[in-house]
Amino acid sequence: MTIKKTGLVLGICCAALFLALLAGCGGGGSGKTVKIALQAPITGDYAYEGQMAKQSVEVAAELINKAGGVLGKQVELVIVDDASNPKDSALAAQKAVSQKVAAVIGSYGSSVTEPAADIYEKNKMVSVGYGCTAVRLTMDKERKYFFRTCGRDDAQGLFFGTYAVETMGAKRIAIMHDNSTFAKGVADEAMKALEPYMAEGKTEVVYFDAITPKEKDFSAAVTKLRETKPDVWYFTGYYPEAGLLIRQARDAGLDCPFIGGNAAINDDFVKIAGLDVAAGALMTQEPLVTDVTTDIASQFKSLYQEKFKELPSSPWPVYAADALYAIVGAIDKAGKLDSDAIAEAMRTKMDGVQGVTGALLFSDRGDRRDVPYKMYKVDPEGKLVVAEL
Amino acid sequence: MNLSLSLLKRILGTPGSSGGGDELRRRRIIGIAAAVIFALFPLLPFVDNYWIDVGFYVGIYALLGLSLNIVLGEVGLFDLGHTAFYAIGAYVTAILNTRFHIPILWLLPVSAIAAGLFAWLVTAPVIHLKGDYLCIVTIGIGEIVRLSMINNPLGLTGGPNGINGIDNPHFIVPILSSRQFYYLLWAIIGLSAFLLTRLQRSRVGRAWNYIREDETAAKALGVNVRHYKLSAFVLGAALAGVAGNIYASKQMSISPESFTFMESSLLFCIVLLGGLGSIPGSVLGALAVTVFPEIFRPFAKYRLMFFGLALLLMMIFKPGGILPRLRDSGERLKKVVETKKARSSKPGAGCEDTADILKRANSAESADRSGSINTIDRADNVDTTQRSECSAHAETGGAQDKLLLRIENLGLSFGGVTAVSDMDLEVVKGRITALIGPNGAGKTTVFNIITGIYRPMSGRVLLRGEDISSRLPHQIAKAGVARTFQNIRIFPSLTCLENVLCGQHSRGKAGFAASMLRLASQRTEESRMLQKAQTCLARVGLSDSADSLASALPYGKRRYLEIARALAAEPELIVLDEPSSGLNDAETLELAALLKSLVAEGLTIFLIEHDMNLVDMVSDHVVVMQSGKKIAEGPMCDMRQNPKVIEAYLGSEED
Repeated sequence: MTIKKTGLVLGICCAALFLALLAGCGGGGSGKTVKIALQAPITGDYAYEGQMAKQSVEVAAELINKAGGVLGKQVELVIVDDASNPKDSALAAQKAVSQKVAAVIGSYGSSVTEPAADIYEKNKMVSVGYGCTAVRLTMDKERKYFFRTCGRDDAQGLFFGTYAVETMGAKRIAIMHDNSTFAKGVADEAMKALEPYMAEGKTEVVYFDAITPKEKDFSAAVTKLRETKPDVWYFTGYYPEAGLLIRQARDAGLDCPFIGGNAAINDDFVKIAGLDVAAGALMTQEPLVTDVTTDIASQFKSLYQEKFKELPSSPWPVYAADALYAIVGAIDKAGKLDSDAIAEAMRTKMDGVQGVTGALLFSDRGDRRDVPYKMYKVDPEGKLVVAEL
Repeated sequence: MNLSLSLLKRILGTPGSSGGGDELRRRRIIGIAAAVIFALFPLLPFVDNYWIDVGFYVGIYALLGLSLNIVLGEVGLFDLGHTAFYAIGAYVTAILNTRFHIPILWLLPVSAIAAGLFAWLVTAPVIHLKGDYLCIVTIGIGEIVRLSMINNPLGLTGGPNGINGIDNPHFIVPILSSRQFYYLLWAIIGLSAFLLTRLQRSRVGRAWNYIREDETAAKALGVNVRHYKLSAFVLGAALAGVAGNIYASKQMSISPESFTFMESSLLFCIVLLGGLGSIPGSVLGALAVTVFPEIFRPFAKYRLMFFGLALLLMMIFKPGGILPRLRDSGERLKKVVETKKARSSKPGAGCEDTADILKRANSAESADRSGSINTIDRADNVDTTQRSECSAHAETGGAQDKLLLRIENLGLSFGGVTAVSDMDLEVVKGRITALIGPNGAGKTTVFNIITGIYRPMSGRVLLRGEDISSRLPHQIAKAGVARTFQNIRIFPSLTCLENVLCGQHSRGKAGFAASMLRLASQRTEESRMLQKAQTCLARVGLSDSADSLASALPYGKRRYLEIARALAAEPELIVLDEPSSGLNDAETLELAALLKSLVAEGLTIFLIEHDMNLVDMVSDHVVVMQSGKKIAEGPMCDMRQNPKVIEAYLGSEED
């Protein structure tokens, strides 16, 4: 009896080790493909984003492979899941490294990307972020192998500040965030962009505060906001709160223009807020794939629609596709799979490399150059359109 | 009503085991196998850095599980904000390292101390809260810490972005690779588990368990509940701080996202999954919550569902956890306190000693048994004679004997209900004093005041002339008053021997350091406590059940176990609250004999009793209470004729 049970336990241990062996042996790979990993939140709070990123990268890989691949080989994707959590992110990065991929796309969320970027850096592996906009990722620490295809928070904040004052002529500005890395980053940068205008007396920030994510009742925050009588209200957080906030604010009689940050507005925002309230809401954002007209964009859109019916409803997945284009372009220019050569090519030899959203050029620090921003508006049908100035 | 307490009951209520030989041996084999697997795992050829890192995170959770296990498992305090202490450790390391470049390993003790100190500061004001209330406060603590990190106080925490650029530790060589981190962490876990196991087998660890099993009983038998609860929080937090330190240096950057409420509940799962108070259980729990989700990762969205399902099934079929703690047998407890020298110089000394004690105990028991029959006979004889000349007997006795306990003018009311008022009472040394009266007369309240559970509103309680009415229960126990309870309060999931050891708690001194380092003084003390406990068990005839769980005892024997526990406190005065309730006639006779023989040894007994035959048989002096007041006192035979007493019991028609 005792021996039997001990045997059983040992057997289970062996089975576990065997599983580990199986999972570990996924690496290696054949010489006929170039393996590129996508690290994304396949599960967890932002699984929605992760799944779209996966689909976008698959579409881009298919297009690249149809056009002959890279260095005469086909691109093979390896997906690693970071569940939008810093701990899982470090594990996902380690997994990608263990699988000996040529480079990595990822990830979504700045504080999730950071530990992964450290691991890629340590292992000399090029990683290209697609949904991580915190300034410090590239500016705090010199990272040789880290790049990103999305813009930085300050770009969006600056765009908002200029637009609110110069275009809308707002005298009283309210800025609201949710204390998440991203939302507070954008809010801080918007504040910074407004400081020169405030010094000139052109405008003032009458409200700068955070709400608590995942709550359902924001009446306290909305009341406080209403009392400051803002001309424009900028919310830099995410869509579930944005939808509830605008609904509750309108119900409370606050009718100043609502501008969301680029995570605040998508189809779900419209559903949560209701079309009557959502229509007219503005949003600072990198152009959506629907508004991009490059050659690659039209190929991408038609294949994506063919495979998954609806186009991605957020801009980030497209940046993931662009990250793949950037990596493939850099490998082509470098002519080999060596990380140093790829990183070098990313910085200096990217002339003529195009992605879905346009030219893919990177600064010395790894930031993408000339990321375009646009002001979007929810039209009466609930679709996002470029706002007419 | 109180969710956490009923959950605790359910978990601990499942039939546990008391360290039977087979189970122990099996556990030992598995333990060694597991240690070997953990040690060799990173060296296996097919294990890549990813799996080593998975092993590292298993370690982080194991360490956190061990730290929460102290609070939740050992003491039974529901702490759903444990991540706060982990976060403090991580942030202290990150801030001091990035600002002042202090090496990571130097910060290891600093993080532990900071987290421990923080735990002391935030839990000291709320430690008296029970069950759910404390649980809610800990959730609050966890959230406050996380939100403080986000709000970037004094620009220290880097706000929602957190802190990056944390150094790697340096231990002889710089620790950089996944494998080095793995070994560093598991070495720390090994050391912690080793020290915690020593604590478990000491006065300190048992005190924690007593509190978890029954706080009131622990208090009344001399355990300083507040001290041990706080120390559990501090120690648990310190260990979590260590985990935070290592996590921060491995991750190189930290942000508040790693310290959410979800993490706290995951730690909770680890401890429940592994088994409350079980050290290997915590490690296994950590393995389960880390490895399962990794294995289920290909199922993407559904992986957490699988994980949840596994947890649910687990709680239904094995609510006690996968590896519930095995209680140590008396022999094992004895072995651990013996010095190596003693063991090697006297081969088989341990067995001899135990055998000796058992022999002595058995002879004492048999002597007691035979003695008891005599006593009963004598009691019966005395009974008849006493009845004729009882008043004279009482007079002579009362005047000469020394006063041990004196209650003066005692009063206590709950809301508008007066429980006790103007109560005066004396207990004379070396006698059995009985407190009788109809239900609701306030007898148990008097007992609770004497033992410090209630504080009187007026009057004093003097023990040997010293006022003890403002002392705490554990201080009163130490001063020499031990008690039993009306509704038996034993520690059900501990062994009988451990139950009795509780009495000895207040007679020991060994603290945390002594127990962890197993100093010579601690070992001597421990073996003295063990001997005393074994003698006390033998005294009530429970030697054979020493190693079985108290919950396995039949009702009547539980009474005796309680008495043995009180005896082990080496009291001068033993206070028994309805010792005969639930006993049959034969058992009551046996009890009477036992009480008589205890008094013969010099003990003083004060008891509440409803069984008038027992009172008649044993008591030298009887005090009668009604509606919170004393209405009569004297020898039992006088009481039987006292009209006031008759009225109190039977109503006034007797007039």
